[in-house]
Amino acid sequence: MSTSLGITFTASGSFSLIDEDGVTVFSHSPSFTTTQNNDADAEAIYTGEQLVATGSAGSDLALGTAGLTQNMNRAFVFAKNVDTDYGIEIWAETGSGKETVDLNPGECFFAPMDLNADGSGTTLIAACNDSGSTAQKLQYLICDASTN
Amino acid sequence: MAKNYTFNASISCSATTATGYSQSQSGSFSLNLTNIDMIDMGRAEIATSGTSLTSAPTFGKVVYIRNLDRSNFVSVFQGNATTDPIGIIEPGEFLFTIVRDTEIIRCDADTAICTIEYFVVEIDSAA
Repeated sequence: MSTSLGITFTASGSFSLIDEDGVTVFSHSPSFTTTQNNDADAEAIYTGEQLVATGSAGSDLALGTAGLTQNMNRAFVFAKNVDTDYGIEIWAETGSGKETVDLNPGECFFAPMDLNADGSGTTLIAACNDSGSTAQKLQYLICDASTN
Repeated sequence: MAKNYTFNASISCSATTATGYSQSQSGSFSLNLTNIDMIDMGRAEIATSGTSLTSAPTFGKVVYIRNLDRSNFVSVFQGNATTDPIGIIEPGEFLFTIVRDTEIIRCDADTAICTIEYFVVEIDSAA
């Protein structure tokens, strides 16, 4: 059961902006590690690569079925566009609202995503290649996060 | 005066279970930004009624937000409404994203004013 499936999640990043004169405008190196989450909202880890479909419907990456014990509230999401042609957008619901990120080839992002802001209870993380004509490959790691 | 910049990002994430299963992923990239006017950064107090972090960009922005509060979470949205969430950041957590549109970034603190660390950097159409 969930108490034996505790998950610890770690994220770290390094971000800097350097101007044309070589001056560092800012530099940030954040990191955090969660305490081990043994609750019922810490059961799912999804990872891998997926060819993301074209069009607004896109492809579902993870979660999705109401009634399961995985977290329907929040998830840690890392994703990277590992293709070479088109951008990939990611939403917390298929085709709903504005995208959380637009990843051009080579780019990556990380966010603790709000999964059920629309209150539908059908919690998805979806991605699509909305502007391109061929499917694009996305690499991802999605992990249940504690409920806020 | 608008200037040119190089933005560098590197992210690593790992999930580990009590049973010893572990998965990790990482990525890094750079953006060459041309004729950039808008760079917002620093620390800000976020109100429960919502605080805008930036004016509307022309093409898009890279966004970093870290919640420095000890007990309350911060919700992050695209635009002035609260209908388009980007994320919910618990104390100590951060998010980083790239959004290619003209919306502002709005943050709402949960139950009391929260302090965040952030940057929002405009990107050009070629980035």
